[in-house]
Amino acid sequence: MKEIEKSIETCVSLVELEKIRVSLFGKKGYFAAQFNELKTLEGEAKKEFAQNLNTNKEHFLEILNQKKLFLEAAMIQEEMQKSRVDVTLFNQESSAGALHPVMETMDKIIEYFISMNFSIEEGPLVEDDFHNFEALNLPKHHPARDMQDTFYFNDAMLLRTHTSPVQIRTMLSQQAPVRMICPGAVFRRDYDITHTPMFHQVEGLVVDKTGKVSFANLKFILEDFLKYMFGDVKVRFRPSFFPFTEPSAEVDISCIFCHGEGCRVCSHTGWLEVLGCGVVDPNVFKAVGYKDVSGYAFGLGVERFAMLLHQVPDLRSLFEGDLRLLEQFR
Amino acid sequence: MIVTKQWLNEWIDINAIDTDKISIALNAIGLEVDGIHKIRIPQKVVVGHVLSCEKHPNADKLNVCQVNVGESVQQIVCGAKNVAAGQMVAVALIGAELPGGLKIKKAKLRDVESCGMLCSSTELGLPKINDGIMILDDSIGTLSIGKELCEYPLMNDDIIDIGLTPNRGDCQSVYGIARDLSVAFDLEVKVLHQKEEEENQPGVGRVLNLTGSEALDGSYMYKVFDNKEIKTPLLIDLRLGFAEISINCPLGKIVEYSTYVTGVLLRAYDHGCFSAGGDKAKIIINKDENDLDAIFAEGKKVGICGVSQEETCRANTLNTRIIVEANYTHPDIIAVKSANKKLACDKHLYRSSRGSEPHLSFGLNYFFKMLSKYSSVMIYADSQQIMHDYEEKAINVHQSDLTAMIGEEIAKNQVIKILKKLGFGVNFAFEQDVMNIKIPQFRHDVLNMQDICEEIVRIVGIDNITAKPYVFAEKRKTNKAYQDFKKRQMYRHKAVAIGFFETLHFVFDDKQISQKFALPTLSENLELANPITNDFNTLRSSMIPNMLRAVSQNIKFGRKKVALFEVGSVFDAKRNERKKIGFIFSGENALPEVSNHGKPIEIDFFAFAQKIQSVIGQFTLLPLTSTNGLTSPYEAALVLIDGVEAGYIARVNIQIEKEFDLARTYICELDFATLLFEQKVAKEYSKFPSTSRDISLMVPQTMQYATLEKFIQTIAPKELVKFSAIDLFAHENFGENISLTLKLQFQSNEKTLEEEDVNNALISILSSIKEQFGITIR
Repeated sequence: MKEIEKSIETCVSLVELEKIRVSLFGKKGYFAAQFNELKTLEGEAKKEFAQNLNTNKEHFLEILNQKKLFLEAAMIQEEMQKSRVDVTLFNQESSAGALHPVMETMDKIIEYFISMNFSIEEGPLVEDDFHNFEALNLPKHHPARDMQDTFYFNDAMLLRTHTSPVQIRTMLSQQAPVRMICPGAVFRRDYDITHTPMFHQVEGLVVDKTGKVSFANLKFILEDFLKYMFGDVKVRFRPSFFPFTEPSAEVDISCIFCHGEGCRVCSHTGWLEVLGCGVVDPNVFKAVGYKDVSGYAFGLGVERFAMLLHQVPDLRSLFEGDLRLLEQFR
Repeated sequence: MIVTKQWLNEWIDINAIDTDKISIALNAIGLEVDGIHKIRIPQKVVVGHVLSCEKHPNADKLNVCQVNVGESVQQIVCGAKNVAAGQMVAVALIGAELPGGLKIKKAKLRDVESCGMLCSSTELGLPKINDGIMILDDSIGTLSIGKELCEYPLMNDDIIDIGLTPNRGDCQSVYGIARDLSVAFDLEVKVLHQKEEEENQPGVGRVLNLTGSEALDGSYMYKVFDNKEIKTPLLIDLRLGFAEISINCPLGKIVEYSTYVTGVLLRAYDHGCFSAGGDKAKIIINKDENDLDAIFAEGKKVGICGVSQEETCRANTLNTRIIVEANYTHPDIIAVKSANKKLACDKHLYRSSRGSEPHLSFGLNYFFKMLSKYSSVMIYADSQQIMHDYEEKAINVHQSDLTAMIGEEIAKNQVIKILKKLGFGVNFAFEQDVMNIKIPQFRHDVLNMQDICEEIVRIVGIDNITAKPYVFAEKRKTNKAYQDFKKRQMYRHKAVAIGFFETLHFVFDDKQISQKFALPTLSENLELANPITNDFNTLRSSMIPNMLRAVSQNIKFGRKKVALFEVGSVFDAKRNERKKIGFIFSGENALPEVSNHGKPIEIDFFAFAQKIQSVIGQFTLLPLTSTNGLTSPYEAALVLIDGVEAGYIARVNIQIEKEFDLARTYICELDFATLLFEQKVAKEYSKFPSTSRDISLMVPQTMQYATLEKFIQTIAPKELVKFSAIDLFAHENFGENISLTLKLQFQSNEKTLEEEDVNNALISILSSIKEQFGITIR
């Protein structure tokens, strides 16, 4: 028996262990034979023999079971070990794509205004003179039209030079109060290092009964918005001119690169120009037939924001589909 | 508009104010400072007096000068052609370091010693004003020999470049900017002093006769002078240089300088043009064929007011008698009447269409003050004029109107003070609590209460207005555009997760290339009239050409796998705008890595379609026979989403792959509107296990899988819940057939299916197929 006990101990496979089990507990195994022998005995001898036999049997069942559990665990270990990997071989290059920085910036801008309860409005890229100029207090031959070099079609339609025509479309189809933004592509006939013939704007318009919306409200929302976009920056308003707003202002933020100290990006002024805005000119309301209202409007260039936020130096690179740039935004 | 600090200082006392503070003030009142350039003449450059000037013994082009530089007389060799004895010049002494980095040292030039350098304007960092060395005169301050030039403030000026907005015609002059700035600093604008005309001067009536028709739009004022010698001082040359104005004629310089300073449109005419040899010039002003005011001499048009002047009648220094004209027309009239006429025009149109200074005598007086100061002339007394009546406009404004617009109350007396300083007339009626504001003629841009409000706001400073939140009624804003935004965002995020990079391209394309690819193009009457380049001469009808170029570029940079997508607008032949989503995948299906032994397989049709499906959800594909010229006819499919035609998925035509140096490339372009954005609805699902069977059928090679698929769908027993093609296997023994393996999945809603149930269902399917198509198991 000692030998068998030893063979269980040294056994290394479940198959071998099963053989030993059969040799002990099988129909023709050791214990079957022993129990047969029991029949030949009588009285005390039988009782003693039976007791021994049962103790033995339990002993072997126990060590067999123990060994089995041990071997099973060892096998799982072995299996796991076989499929061991060098985790450092992991390819760190992601196979995911990425959103375009301009579109992603546009999303971020839109999310802000949605959270401030603005509606989104859209309009066509091909516009007519009325919506793009005339209704926005830019009558024909107005010198301010020079500010926006326009793409025209042979039938006198044009590619919108700003998202402002959507203001007109919205006011012509809805009654005040209006509280909207219009994101989208716009076009100017200009192509150099700092201009592309197509770029994106987000336009905002708030209109309510006379006296309800003031310049102070415009200041509030733009200061809050610019802090949402750029963090803790200083915001400065400079009077300016847009035909469709009066008073008008341009909005600067303290340079996010040099914190106002002066650097190349801000042309050593410490300020970055990011927005145009103003109180809606009464001629615009006249053009859409709104009466007894006041309002403010603002507009911003999305590429400008994206370039500042993502520190992309070259505007034109944004339109080239170059993966060397795009995959940095994964 | 370029001004300088010293130039402004002629009109308002700002010498003591730091230039950076001036810049801040200009910005604050809406005159945007684009840049500041401070000119500083280096030390050891002094006023010198050329005592003698002789030819260099060994060099034709050099002169040897003896120059008094105050404490000593220095010998200086000079190569400039214009150097002469008696001149006052700028001398860079030994040790001076010039802006270009040049250090002045004692030198020998062809054996002659030279102790310093006579300088040109550019060598000192000043604008170019002539060829050769700069000749100094008293216009920059009293010259004293040996004094350093850096002590002359008029030469060491701060140049301020202001970006004017088109509404501010009144600031197109040094005076106009000074007038606006005076309000910010609360300074008085100086008055132009002029000499009383002498009694014995002959009157202008002797030499000039002015007539004009009644319908004229503009106002005109004329004076005449006899010319003996016209010269311009250094200061005028320098300042025209600062302003980047280049004129050679001294008379032209003074005319332009006076217009630049005062904003009044000035022109000088040769008296002889109008007098036909006689003493008296006849000037006739009449409407021309474009209804613009024109100046006629001897029946010939010699100028259009505010637009142009005939070169032949422009006065120059050789003319003995010269007429000077000042004119003003309301800018709106000029802008409307001159637009689209393609008139030849000069610099005046830019000023006249934005608003020139209407105070004509101010401009003329300034001109004659400058002229007589430095030149020898005889000016005829008085002037002749045709004045257009100005109807003074007035606006009534309540203080409460201003408060409502601004959102904050600005004190009444502050409002009145600001407006008065800006040149507005203000009468305050206490009883009605209303301000009656009279608008000066030079502020043609101010038309209504909002414009008045703007004047107040810009002077008070927008930064000084407290920001306040807007109080509004709650209103739900989730309209269709919002839904579209969320839908676009969802699909874009999905595309990114599947490995596509978002691109952004111009909506333009090259018409020739579009036509080559058999893409629809705009009909000619709807085409772009003024494209910026040929590459962008039409609107795109597909996003794919732009994306192909992007892929091609990336492959040139060594990429093996390029996957891009874009959501954007395209236009059909009738120029209707549609939103599309385009996908392109080129080259290897995955990145090379350990798991694919560094050799990822190329993308194929099904792998690409699977990626598209992962982005846009389920669709069905139908063979596409006619496509555009971009695709391969053998790997092209129509995409149906929920039964609606959405676009196509295809391989790029191999010809185009070759042209663009592309690897195997697949494209997909879909109408964005056909993509679904709906709530998903849960269906009842079986709680019992499913069983699947793979069967291989011998199908004719020509047979479309869709035919078989549709048939199985119609005859399928209810236990068949799903099936799909999983393998194609061709073998020479199969003849015209091919082995198609299907995986069929069986499941019941009521019970766990027994072996027998599955077999019965399978047998029924197979026998139907056999009956219909004669197709059997392999």
